[in-house]
Amino acid sequence: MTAWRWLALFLCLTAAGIAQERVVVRVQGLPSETATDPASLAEQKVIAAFRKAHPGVELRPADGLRIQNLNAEAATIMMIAGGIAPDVIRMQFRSSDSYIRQGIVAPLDSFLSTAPESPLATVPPQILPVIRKVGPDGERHVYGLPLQTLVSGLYYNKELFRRAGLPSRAPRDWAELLDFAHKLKELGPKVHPLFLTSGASSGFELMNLIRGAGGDALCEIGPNEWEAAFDSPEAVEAFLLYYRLTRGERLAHRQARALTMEEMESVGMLFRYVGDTVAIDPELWGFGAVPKGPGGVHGSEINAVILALYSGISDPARREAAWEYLRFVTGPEADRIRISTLVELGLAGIINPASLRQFGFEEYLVLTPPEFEREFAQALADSKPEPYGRNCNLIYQELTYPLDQMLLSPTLREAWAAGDEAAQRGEIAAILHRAARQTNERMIGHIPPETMEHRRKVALGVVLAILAAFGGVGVYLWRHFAKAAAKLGRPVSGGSPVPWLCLLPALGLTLLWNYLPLARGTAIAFFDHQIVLPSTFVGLDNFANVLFDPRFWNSLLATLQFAGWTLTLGFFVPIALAYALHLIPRQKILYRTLYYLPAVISGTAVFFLWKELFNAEGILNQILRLGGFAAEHAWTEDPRLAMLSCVIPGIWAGAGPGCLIYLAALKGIPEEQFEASEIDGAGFWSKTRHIVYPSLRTLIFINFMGAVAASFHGATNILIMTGGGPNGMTEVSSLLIFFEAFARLRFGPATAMAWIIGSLLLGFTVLQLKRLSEMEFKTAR
Amino acid sequence: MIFCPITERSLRVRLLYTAIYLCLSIGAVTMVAPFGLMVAGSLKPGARSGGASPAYLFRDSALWAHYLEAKYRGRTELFRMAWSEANAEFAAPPQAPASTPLALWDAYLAAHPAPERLLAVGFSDGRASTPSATNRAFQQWLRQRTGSSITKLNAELETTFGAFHAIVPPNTSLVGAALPASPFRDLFEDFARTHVPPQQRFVWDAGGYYRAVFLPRLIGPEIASFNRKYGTAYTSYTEVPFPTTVPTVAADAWGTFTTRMLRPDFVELTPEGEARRHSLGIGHGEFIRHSARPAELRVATLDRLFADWAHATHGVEDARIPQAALDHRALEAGKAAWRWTFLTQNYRYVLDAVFFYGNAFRNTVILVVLMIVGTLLVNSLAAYALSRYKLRQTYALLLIFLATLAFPGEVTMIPVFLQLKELGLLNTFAALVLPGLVNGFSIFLLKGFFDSLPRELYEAAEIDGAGEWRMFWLITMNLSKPILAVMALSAFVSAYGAFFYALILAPDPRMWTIMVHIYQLQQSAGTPVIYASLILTAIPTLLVFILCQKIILRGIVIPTEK
Repeated sequence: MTAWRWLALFLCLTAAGIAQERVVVRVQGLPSETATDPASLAEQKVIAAFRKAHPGVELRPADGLRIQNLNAEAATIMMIAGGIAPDVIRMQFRSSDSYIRQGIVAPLDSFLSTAPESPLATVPPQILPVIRKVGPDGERHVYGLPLQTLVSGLYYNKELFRRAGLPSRAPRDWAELLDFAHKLKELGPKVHPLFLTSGASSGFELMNLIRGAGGDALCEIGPNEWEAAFDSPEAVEAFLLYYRLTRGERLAHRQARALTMEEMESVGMLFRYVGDTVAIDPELWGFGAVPKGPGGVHGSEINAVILALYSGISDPARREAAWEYLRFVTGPEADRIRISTLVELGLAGIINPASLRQFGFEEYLVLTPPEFEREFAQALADSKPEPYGRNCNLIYQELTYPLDQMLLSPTLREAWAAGDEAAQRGEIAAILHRAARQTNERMIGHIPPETMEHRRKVALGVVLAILAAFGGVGVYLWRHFAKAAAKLGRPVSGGSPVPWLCLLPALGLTLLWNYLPLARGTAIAFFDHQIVLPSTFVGLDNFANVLFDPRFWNSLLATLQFAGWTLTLGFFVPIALAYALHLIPRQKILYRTLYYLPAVISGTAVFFLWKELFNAEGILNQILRLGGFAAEHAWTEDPRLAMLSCVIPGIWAGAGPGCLIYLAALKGIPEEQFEASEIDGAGFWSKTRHIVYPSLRTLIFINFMGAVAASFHGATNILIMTGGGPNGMTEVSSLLIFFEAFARLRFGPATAMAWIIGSLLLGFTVLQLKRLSEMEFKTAR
Repeated sequence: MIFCPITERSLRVRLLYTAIYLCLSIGAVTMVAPFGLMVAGSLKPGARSGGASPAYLFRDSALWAHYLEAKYRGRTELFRMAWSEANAEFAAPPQAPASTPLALWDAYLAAHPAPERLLAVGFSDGRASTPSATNRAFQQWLRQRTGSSITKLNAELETTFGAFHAIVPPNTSLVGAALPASPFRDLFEDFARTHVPPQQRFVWDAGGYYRAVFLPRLIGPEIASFNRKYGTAYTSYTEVPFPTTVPTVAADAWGTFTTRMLRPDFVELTPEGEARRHSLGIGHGEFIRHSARPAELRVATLDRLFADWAHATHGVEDARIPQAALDHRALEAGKAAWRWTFLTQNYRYVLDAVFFYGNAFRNTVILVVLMIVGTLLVNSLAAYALSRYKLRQTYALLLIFLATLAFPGEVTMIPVFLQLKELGLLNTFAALVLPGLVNGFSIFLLKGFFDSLPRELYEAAEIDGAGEWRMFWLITMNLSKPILAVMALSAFVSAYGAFFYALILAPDPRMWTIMVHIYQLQQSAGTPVIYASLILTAIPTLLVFILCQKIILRGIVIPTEK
């Protein structure tokens, strides 16, 4: 068979790869050979230089897939869990601690001590505490080197600033920010003075504001022990400013999706990173440090990609080669190549003057805006690293909870209308206080022993209940099926091996790919599962913590809502559609094809398409506005519409394919029945009730059971639409499980959740199986 | 039919029909409208210009915007240089430019063929993820030369291109370092000389850059600051002269521009300068950047050569290259052709980059076939065994298969991945096919269906001495074609559309299917290209549905109470 030939071919290829003497290093972030944007071209040259210097090392790409709305880490973690980890791992500040704590990345001390000149000398001092940390062995080590240092800043649209009569520079402090924004607003309704990110990463800009106010999102309370601190008075000021900019004075445009070039033309200011190069065309956009807040600092964030070595590299030669690569791409020679490539490409104007000077391109300084260097230095001086402590992976997301609550708060809206500043601050402080407490419990996870004891008891009960349910149901079904089997009478096989030979492939595959993984997966629920370090048995603790996690219950509520909407709106649409398509005398095929159209677009694309339509400026809001509604927010961000916007695309795409089975069933109703009832004088409704409904009833019931089970999933789609927001309203259980497992690396609790949800669905599945066994199956003629 | 022909004509039934048609039509509009938006979006040629597309099909102003954006590579800087206007945006000239300067320019070109290095190539985007006319023509030309072998090309040119669709012309610029020669650059210049029509090119216009880009950046966007500094009275930067040798007005700016910015190979040395360079013993470029005095320099770009010629032969003062008029003439002559190019270029790009790239098409076919054959065979065999042989364990086995439907997917995801890795199946079709092959529900349906097949057929076949395998094929499978067709269709849809797991389980690009490539394309390409890719990928599924809907409807299995 073709598959085996392919398999053989690949084995040969792999074998050929092994036969070579070169050391293979698998790295992430190799520039694609097909990419030709300036940054990739520069990176290609860096890699070419490395290859030239190290002919014995072969670099292989080890990138996973990129998922929108989520960082690339899910794929990295899959690779690590699967034992095909990259040798050189890219880490974000916020996730670095998880990698270090779980022993995924190795200390670099031995390499650093032998390196001719210390690579640490050129690392900005703010980044040192991020890469030098206490590891699982209790000692402090250096775990990685930063690739390119980035500092967040405020870009401003030169053209709009000119039109608004503003000076050609970014605002220096909050007062100026507001002032500039108001002047930009006077340019007309199409101009958005400020752009802010909404959705799962809306914490990014907020973090800059909190720090500018003199506060911080987290503070270090002990050695590598962190606590949420976004309920400080400084943070209240930052949140208040955010409120003022968005809801209060409507100066900012919020959107989850990145701006297109077209949209950027009508945006006055936006927060973004700047590093060796500016991120946006310097012809059109100027750069400044983040405006100073009441804290008197700029509050810029310093960030970088950290390259680290995978701890599981066993071959010393490979480890050495991986280090050489890491050292080279983070080193000065690589920087020189990057800068000179960009200069050669005629892009000197986007390069940081400091870098131009460093590598001897002074003659191009005239091309760079004069304020670039000064503003960059200021931003860098005040900058603090992105949070890098324990479980910080989702810190931006943690910040979105109080942010969404604040934006949605009716109390705050009233206080704003009344101009009562004390009440505004009071309400914000209350929201922040609650959110910080929850974040603390989740992130630090410190629970008193007696509480834990109580939780374990509850968990024991729940686990026993799950076991009993599964056991009971198993026995019940077994008996039920055995009863059916008894009706079969004497077995006919007569000991022939034929049926068993026929069953072998299916049975073998099912045991191997369904049952074995289930058993292995279940074990995880009782462990503190570690990817690299040995896992420890924790008994029922995972269940105990999940059961007392408010976010779990919140997700359950969201799941029920999602299921409710899907079932009430979505389930009956295909039935009605099928009936309508069946009734009409002409153009059946045309309509059938039209309704099937959405199903031909590949799965997730449907959701991306709808997300555009749900946008704040999307077509649906435009229609609503024509109808006189004040539709300002994207549907996916509006608390009343968010869940609906997750449900609608699925219904839209599912109606056509879903109606086919009912169409087939309707065709199967014998014509004579209708003729007979026609003679009896039955009308449309009477026929529907007495002929059509009875013949569809069984089908509807079976499908409904299936739809219930299916409606408990849908994580990918919600991830695309809302990412779980606003304020966790659409964070359904399957999405929460996904986050727990792949973003927080908490596989134990994730599996425990999956089991609890699974057992809730058990009843439906059993009912469905039981009914199925009582059915017989025919195709409609 | 629910109604017989006579009642069908009654008023009530007609009203009912009208109502149904109305509802269906409204629904159909909501089904088709997003598609319409997608199609419209996929026809949009550029990322920046133009609103609700494809307006360029009807409105000349939109066509102009797209044309200019495409010609000047989406870079305002180049456009402003070529048109010599400081604040120009991609838009049509307000009125048709005068034709006198055109005649002069044509006369000059007729007498002096322009050297290749003084000309820039239009319609060539530096990003491979953006469709552009010159890039594609260059790629096709290279394909022909090398017999479509990218390895041969890379060996010949010392390049590292991964695919033909990723090849972009070498970068050139008016400012910066003189670009080193390379086999690839030489080849592109060959191509440009022989295959790029003159109207798709523009001049590296030093004067234009100086006036429209350099001075506003150096001195300030308003002409007032220039006037203040040099005591002049210009009304716009366009009027500022840029002579071949150092001027009296803004001599320092001219000096900075020629010594620091302009590519050294665009600058010549006067005899005195040449002598001094010789005595210093340094190269041309180094001398200009570090030692030259402005008085020793002459600008040798085409705009200066032309202006000096015009002055010497026709007595015209400060002649400029009439690029706006040239563009006007070029577009007026080829509107229909450009509309067609813009209309199709996103689709051509997707075809090049996805459908005909590497193994994508073959992988997709293999995966789809394996999946269909595998699903049908494995599940039917199991159902056949359960149906034909009334084993004592029949229901136990059915329960084993069906129970998998109740397994929480999140629990099994990671272990499945681990197992594939342990068995060494990652990056094989087996990884994509095996774990999802058995479907409890399919086995259950098939068994139910096989049960309803007449038993006598098997008995007759047995008497005729038919073997088990023959009976399975000739009776069971043969009589179940419609239901098997439905299962094949759903296997097709899931194998064809799968990209998430395809990507995790087969990270090697050589194993990627069309969908995985599309997914990757979506990460870098602009919305118009993404829409084009979605429409193209939808076509196979749509064709299968349109052609097979009758069979599908016959094959759908419906449960009825026993």
